[in-house]
Amino acid sequence: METVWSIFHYGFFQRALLAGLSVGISCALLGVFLILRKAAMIGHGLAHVSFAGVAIGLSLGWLPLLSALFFTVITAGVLVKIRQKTGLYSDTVIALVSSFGFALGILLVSLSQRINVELFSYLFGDILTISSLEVIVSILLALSLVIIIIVYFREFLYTTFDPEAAQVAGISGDKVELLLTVLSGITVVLGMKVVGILLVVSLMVIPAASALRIARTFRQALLGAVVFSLGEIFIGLCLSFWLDIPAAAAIVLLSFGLYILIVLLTKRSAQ
Amino acid sequence: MKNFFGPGFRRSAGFFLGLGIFLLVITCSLAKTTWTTFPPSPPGNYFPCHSAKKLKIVATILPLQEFAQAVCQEKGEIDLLIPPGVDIHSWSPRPSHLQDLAQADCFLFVGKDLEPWISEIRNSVTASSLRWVEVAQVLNVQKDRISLPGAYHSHHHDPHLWLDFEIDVKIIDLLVDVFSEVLPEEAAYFRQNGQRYQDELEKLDKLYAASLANCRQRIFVVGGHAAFGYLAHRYGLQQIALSGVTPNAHPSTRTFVEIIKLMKNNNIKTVFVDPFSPIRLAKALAAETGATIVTLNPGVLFPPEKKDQPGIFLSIMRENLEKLKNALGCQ
Repeated sequence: METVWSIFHYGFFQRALLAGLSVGISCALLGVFLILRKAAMIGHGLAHVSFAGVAIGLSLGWLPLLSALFFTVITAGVLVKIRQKTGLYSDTVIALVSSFGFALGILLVSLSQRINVELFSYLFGDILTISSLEVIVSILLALSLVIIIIVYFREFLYTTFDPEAAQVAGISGDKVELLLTVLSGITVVLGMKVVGILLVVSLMVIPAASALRIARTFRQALLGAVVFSLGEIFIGLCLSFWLDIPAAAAIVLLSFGLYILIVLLTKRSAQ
Repeated sequence: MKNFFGPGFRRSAGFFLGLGIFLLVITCSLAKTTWTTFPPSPPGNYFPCHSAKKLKIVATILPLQEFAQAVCQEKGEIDLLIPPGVDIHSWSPRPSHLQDLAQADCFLFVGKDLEPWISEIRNSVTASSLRWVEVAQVLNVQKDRISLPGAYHSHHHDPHLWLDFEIDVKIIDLLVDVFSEVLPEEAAYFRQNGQRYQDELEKLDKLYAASLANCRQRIFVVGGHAAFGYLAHRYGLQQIALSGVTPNAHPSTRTFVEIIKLMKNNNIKTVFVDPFSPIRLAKALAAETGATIVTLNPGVLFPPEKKDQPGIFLSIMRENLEKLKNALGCQ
């Protein structure tokens, strides 16, 4: 058993676990709201935008995490404003903004010839090189996200389930949408080092979808999503070492398998 | 008639004028790229005379450029194709580079393991006088070609063959032969110059062998790609590298942990990196093991301002030796 658990002695793995678990909490909570608001793909769109943010950071020599955070939050704000001003469907706006983000990223990568290698670690995740600073930023932002969700729980809940009643009650749906989108942007950036830009949306969607499948109340769904997410990230990271496979693949395939299992089981019990 | 010069006419005239200017600009810019790649011929070329004739050589990487320069001295003009500081593994030529090649007498490259794009451009450059010189042909395929000892999960041939000085001596023999075919009247001159550089290489080889004979440690860890296989092989060292043959390969978690264990068990306190590669992985490895990061130059990377400094490859190799001696605890 000593060899199996020896992985926990390594600093890089402890950092990956801490970063992964704090990202997992944020993703799971947001995911439940986003799925119910039919805005699950927002994470994917913002992940593509964060690609440009990373490329900006790498080409200017800034910390990619911070440049991506900055750029993605601003774009998230612009995205919501575009949608509200033009009345476009949100999937159209996501397609618009994500292709803009990726195109800008590709341009910056081609201009500076030497950042390709580093960019790869952001596209597919790289648990070997998560720095202590990134871990601290992840934990702090996850904490503030949980606090924001607790504080604005009523607003999030009403605008999600009954937008008209929320309007009557004086809750601005537009503001809640802006807040949720910005929070998603932050979470996506935090998740990209663990599973990579291309897969970060899975952390938001799969645990929440699994939890929504079996939960009886909304609170159960939130709690269930967090439990699934934490479990899947923890086991996925361990599997990546034990089976010698990429961490992102381990986490995403594990959570997808679990989701399918839940779907099959709940179907049978419903019959 | 009045209608003819009306706003409709002006609009379409404006459109066609704009289109004309656009096409003109495009044509000019295309033409410009063609013009600039044909340098004005020096007067000597109009009246061919043997003493003025210079070999025009294009080499892909620094060692080949330096070898060719050493053999030709003032009888050759050698251009470096891949700019210094650029990752040679991911570089590929642009059309303007092909124009440059078409003007040259000889094109020196290592082989398909380093420059996989050679076979693609070979048909595009139709100049019949250009000689394609693959220096990897000096390797005795069975004996010399090594498959990256020390790199995990790798079945590729190590392209960094210039890090074995005995192979470099063979490469210089090859260059002397090729250049002598192009300029037979200078054959003796090329042979004499080649011999002088070969003596330098043999001296350096002896220095390496003597310096690395008695060391506390025979394993060295590279926190990047496995570029030093030939060097390790020649002097009985063992190279352990995070990535495989190219810098883009990413190690798995288990490989990373195995290297950490190996470093701790063997008390290895140095992680070597390329001077120009990203060092995040090497930093993570150093942080995990308490090692320091030291640059080791695979001989192709150098600051652009040193581009025309003679003997830079040899001086890089001497620097590498000092760093290896320190890291391995050699007497």
